[in-house]
Formats: sequence, C-alpha cells, structure tokens
Amino acid sequence: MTLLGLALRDLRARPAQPLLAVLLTALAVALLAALLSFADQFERRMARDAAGVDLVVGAKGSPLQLVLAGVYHLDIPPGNIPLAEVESLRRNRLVAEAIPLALGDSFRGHRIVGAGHEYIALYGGRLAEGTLYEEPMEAVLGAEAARNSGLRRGDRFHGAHGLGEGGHVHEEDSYEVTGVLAPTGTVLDRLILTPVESVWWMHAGHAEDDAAFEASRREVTVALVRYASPVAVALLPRQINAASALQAASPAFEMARLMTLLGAGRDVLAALAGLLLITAGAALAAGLMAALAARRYELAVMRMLGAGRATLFASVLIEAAAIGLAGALAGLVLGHAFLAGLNAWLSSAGQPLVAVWHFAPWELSLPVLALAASLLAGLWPAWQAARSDVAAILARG
Amino acid sequence: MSAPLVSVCGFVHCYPGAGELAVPDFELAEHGRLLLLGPSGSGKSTLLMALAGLLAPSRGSVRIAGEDWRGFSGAAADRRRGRLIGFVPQEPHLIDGLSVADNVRLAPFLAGASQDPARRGEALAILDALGVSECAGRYPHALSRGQQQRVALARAVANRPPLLLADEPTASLDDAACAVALDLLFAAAERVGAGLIVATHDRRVQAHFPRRVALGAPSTPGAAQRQIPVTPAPGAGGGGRGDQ
Repeated sequence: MTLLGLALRDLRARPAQPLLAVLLTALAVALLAALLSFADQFERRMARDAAGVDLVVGAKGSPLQLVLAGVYHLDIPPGNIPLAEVESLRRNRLVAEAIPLALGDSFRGHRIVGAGHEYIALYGGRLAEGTLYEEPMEAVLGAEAARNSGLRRGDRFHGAHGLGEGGHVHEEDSYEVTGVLAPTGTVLDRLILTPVESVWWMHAGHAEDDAAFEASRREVTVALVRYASPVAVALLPRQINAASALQAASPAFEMARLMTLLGAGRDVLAALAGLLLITAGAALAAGLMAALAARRYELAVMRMLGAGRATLFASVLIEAAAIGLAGALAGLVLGHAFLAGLNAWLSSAGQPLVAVWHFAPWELSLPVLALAASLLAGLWPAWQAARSDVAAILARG
Repeated sequence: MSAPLVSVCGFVHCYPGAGELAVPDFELAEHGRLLLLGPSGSGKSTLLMALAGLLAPSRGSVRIAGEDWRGFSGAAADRRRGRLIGFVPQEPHLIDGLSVADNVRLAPFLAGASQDPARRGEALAILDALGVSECAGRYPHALSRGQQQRVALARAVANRPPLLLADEPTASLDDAACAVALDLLFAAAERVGAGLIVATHDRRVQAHFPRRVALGAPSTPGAAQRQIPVTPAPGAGGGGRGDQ
C-alpha cells in the first residue's frame, strides 16, 4: 500500500470529476502539442529546403511568391527569366553558384523540375537505384515522388501542363525514368528532376513558330544563388533589383516575414490552449473540493488512524498530479492523432503533410507544464484537507 | 506500579460561545472497560477526541500511557495516535475505493507500521475473528451495514492498540443486534488486549460495564460548573478511581 496507490484507488472510486479534469487538460495539451509539432516541422522543413540558397532570382512580382515557387515548390512562379541573365549572374564576382530551374509541368501532383545535377547535389541527393539523367526527356524521381507515383527505373510517363493536377497531358512526348533518389528529408523528395532541355523541349510544341521555340529555349523560371562572400548580402539583391528586369528575394527574409504573419495565428491558438489549461485547473480544483466534501469523514478517519496533516496534504496533491499527468499523456496522444487527422484531410497524392510522431523539443515540457498546473490547482484543496477539523467532523458522527 | 492506561484530571473544555464541558477525574487501567454515558450534546464525542489527542482540553490534562500529548508536536501526536488508539466511529466511514481487506490494512499503513506478509495475514485473521472474512475482497458499497460496522471494528484493532475508543456503537440497533455489537467489541478488545472506552447515550449498555462516567449537558457560560459523578454500574461492584 502506498499513497499513490491510495490516491489512484480513490480516483477510481469517484471517476466523473477527475475524468472531466483529465479531458480538459488533455484538450489543452493536445492543442499545444499539435501546434508545437506542426510549427517545429514546418520551420525545420523550411530551413532545410532553403539551406544553401541565399537568394532566389526570378521574374518581377511578389518576392514571397518567388521564394515559395522557387525553393519550396508550393506556389506558381511569377514568370520566366532569360537564361542569359542567369549566365551573367554566374559571372558576377559576388555569386559563388547560380542554379537555373525550369518549371512548368507536373506528374500526379509532383513537380517536374528542369535542373542540372548540381541542384541534386545542393540537397545532398544520392541515387537509390539507376543513374542520373543525361539526355533530354530522361528523369530521376525523388523518393516520395517515386513512392506515390509507383514509377520505377525504366518506366515511362507523360507530364501534365501546369503545376497542379488536372492540367493538359503532353501525350506526344514521354519521360523515361533513369533512376530514383534516396530520401533526403528535403523538397527534393517530392520532385521529378530532368534536364532543363526537357522542359524547353516539351514547351517547344506549344510555340507557334521557330522564333518562339528559340525564345523558350533561352528562358528558365528561377535561379538559386549562393553568395560568394558576406558582402553579397548587402550588395547583390539591391544590384539585381535595381539594374535588371529580375527580382531577387531572400528565402531567409521572406520566410521570417511569413512566420511573423503565421505567428499571430499561432499565438491565438496558444492563448486558447492556455485558457483551456486554466479551465482544466479550475475544473480540477472544483472537482477536488467536491471530492473533499464527500470524503471528509474518510479523511477524518485517516487522521484518526494516524495519518498526519502532511499525509493528507500529500495524498490530495498526488491525486491532482495523477490527473495532470494522465491529462498530459492523453493530450500528447490526442495532439498527434490530430496531426494524423490533418494528414488524412489535407494531404494530396498520399503525401503526408506532417510526420505524425515528430515531437518538438518544447513539446516534451508539456507534461511538466500540465503537472505544474495541476499541482497549483491542487494546492488549495490539499491545504483544506490538511487543516480539516477532524475532532469536529467525527464528533458530528 | 505502572501508569494507568488513561488518566483524565481536571478536564474542562470550553466551547466557543457555547458553554463548557467539565469532566470528573477518572482513570482506566490496562485491559479495563469504561462507559461514558450521557445524552446527545453532553460532550461524549468531545471527550473521545481529547482522549485520541485530536483536541486539547482548555484546562486539565489527559494522559495516555502516562504521557500528556500536549507536549508532542502534531506529527508525533499523529504517530502515537496511530500506535496507541483504535477508534470505532458511530458510522463505519470505510474508504469506498479500497477493498475490505485494504480498509483494514490502511490502519497499519497510516500508523507507519511495517507491511510485512505476517501483518497482511493479520488483517485477514481479524476479519475472520469478526465473521466477515468472506467479505475481504469486496468493496464497502457491497456490504450490509452490519458487515461494514464489523469491518470498521477490524480496522480499529488492526494495529493492536492498547486503547480502543467506540462512539455510539449500539445506536439505532435493536436489542439482539445491540448485544451482538457489544460482544464483538469486547471480543475484539480482548483479542488485542486493549482497554475499552465506549461513549453512548444507550442505557442498555451500562450493565455490561463495571464503571461508568456520566456526562450531563455542558454548563452555560458563567454558570456554576456541574460536578458529574463517576459511579460503578449497578451490580458491577468496586468504585473510586481506577477499575482493575
């Protein structure tokens, strides 16, 4: 027999009020857990995908759109840019590397990206099977793209015009899969990679005449730029934005701006979770007080049997802690079940939006937070239990 | 000569704004029996609480096994109470979440006694002696009232206390049940070698006790303090302080 055992058996004998407190704590913790895990994964993914890219250069338009389209492949690019401009960027002494990407088509929701092998190297991509593409209309699949499309080395597929599903299918030409990449945990996993020439080739068919074909030959969608020196941070974006028809956008700056915008929503949800936790604490305190009223004779008998005030104080606090911890653990499971639901609801083409069982570092402190809240809520009831007038209670019968 | 098990001397308890209770001096030797007899409101339960060390008298002293508990800290008094006093409340007040056996084992646990297997067996032996061993695994809500009272009695003697206090153990019982309840109480006290003090308003009980302390209504503030007699029960023989 232990005080913890006593507390648990007492909770089992009177489960309604404790269950309500567990439920409210679980809801608060679930909301916080889902929020923290989602935000952490989002920020990590954004940071990973933007690693090694100091600047995105593309057509004039929204800089955020340019970054979302060029780095994360989440948005439509604002337009194309002449390849000659990228070539001149490469000659700029402030630029260490400029990787041109040609976008335009997709296959079953996965973007077909025209790029050189250096784009694969940027994300540390390694072949899981087959070889890299060498000729136009050859393609290498990212790990997720391969899994979701079911394509293997040697298979052929037709790209569809546009970056979403439902676009016009290029029936006349097909890509051949030469290899599949191992998972990198980056945006590369979701892409289908091919030489830039493939994209030009595909869209030559849309051109009315040879002049248009030649024009498209000389265009790409964006260039991913890595600075040659820290001085470039201050000089290069200004230089590009002022002196050419191009736009330069910094992924770090644009994503920080996006996070600030999203941060307001996140703060509202966190405040809501905080309110829920306070409500849970109030319900816990009310439940414990109600239980004390019902148990006053039991507690008096316990004192009579030799239990000290400290024992009664501890037994009520242990009950509060048990409720808080049960709520926290249930909340962690519930929060991640919510992420699983979010995946089922929002994922496209079978790609999970988030990893369900990814725990953010701060998330593991949620049980501590719930425990602290429940102990705080249990203090007053515990004090009341400890200072109850046993003689008066027992003398009343 | 060793100190008496219980010694009450010059006991006065003042109720806030509601008069005071004066109790005549009395003593109880080891294994002795004493009846506190008085109507409702006469202060029987208050005196029991003082004997259990849960209430300090306004004046006078209460000594258990020769020691005045007012000298002990709260925690020390709690430990002594767990070890020295068994208490049978008017209502059983068993703990709903614990089985019958665990309700009995609660007493040694809270008193800080060891929980070795022999002790665990002791709980079952006491339940057996009181005729409720078949209820050991059941929960209080599944017991009859009579069974609950026996379990409460088993819990009171689980620590083998030298002093057993019972508050109105026969209230609302018919004559037959009253006799059974008293027999159980005496048997339990005898089994563990405890002295017994029963507080009651039930005059049917007095023939079973060699000595009794009669309590009247508490005096109102300012009135002359009533002297309450300590008398031997009719036919019980003996008198004066300290029955043997």
